[in-house]
Amino acid sequence: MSKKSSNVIKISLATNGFVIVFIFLLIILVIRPAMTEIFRLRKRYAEYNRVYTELSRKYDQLERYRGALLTNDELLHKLNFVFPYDYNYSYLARYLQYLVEDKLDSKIISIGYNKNVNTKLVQKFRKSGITRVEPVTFYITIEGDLTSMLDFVRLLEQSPFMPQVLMINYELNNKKIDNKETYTITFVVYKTKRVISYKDMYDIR
Amino acid sequence: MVKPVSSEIPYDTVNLLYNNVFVLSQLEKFLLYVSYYLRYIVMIVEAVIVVIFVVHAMYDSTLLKLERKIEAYVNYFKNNTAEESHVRYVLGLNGDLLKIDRERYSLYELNNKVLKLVPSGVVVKSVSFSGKDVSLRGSGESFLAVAKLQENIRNSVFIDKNSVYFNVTRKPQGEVEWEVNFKFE
Repeated sequence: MSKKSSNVIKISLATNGFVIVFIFLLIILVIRPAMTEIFRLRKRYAEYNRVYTELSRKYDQLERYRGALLTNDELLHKLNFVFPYDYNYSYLARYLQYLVEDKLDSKIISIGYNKNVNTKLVQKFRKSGITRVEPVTFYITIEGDLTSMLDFVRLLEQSPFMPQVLMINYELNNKKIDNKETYTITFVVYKTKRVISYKDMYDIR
Repeated sequence: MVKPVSSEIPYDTVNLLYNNVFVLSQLEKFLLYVSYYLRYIVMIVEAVIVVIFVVHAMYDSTLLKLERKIEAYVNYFKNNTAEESHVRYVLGLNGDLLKIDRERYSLYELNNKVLKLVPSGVVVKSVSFSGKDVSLRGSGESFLAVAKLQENIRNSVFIDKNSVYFNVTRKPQGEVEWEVNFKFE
């Protein structure tokens, strides 16, 4: 009886010991690394989720803006005439001709623009954080009544080209009998660095 | 011949045997309990392992799905860089034009201000604006008339007083020639 009982105890001890060791091994070799991996995955998931939300927000925003731009593409196309990207100032030239010859009954002697960068203005632009447009200096010499000169400046400043008149030069010439004087007005208009509307974008391509 | 077994067993031996049997049976009982509960512990550990692997697999598949979605977005943005940059440009352009408009000033108004400074008896022969810098040249009937112009310039609230430069010369014919430079504030 005692010997049998002792054997049972021995087997039971061995089995229980083995199970306990097995449980510990499971905890150390399986559960612990798996838990660590899960925590790592959780961190990665949070990071990916953040990136995904950010990208999704960016995508929605881009799509929304693109839709708005496409809706207003005709308007943006017109803006290219006012702020051309390719120095095509024919619209401005026509407008100046209309102002001087039709509205003020004066005569354009010369008209031109300077592609050279107005460094002073560019520096001012940089300070203000204006990077998408460049200033272009325009000159117009007009022969006409001096009283109409100021009207011209006023009308020019009110035009949609947003010009900044920099200089008015005129010399009074007493010898003239018809009261006509020649004056030069220097002003700045702007050009965009790239095409604005989709329509023009695809035209270029 | 069979040797008769003694019917007398000493008390100590009986007691010892009894104690041994008692202890062994208690130990056996205890071990039975342990093995009984160990079965549950093993079951719990197994369940935990299963849960961990399920969670792991779920995270893995979710991450994979997220990775694919992110990749799709990244590819979209990679293929639409021109589009994105165009949208950014046009949006920024609006801000730039607003800034330019805010910083504009009217030379027409500045000129009107200049003309208001010129008193009677003084003739302006040349006006030159360079930004807010103004340069005037002309003639006057007398020193007094030109002095009135100088006074008007000095009293104007729109002019930077430190920028005023005035030069007056009398011509042999008696006429006064003057030149003034100043800057609007």
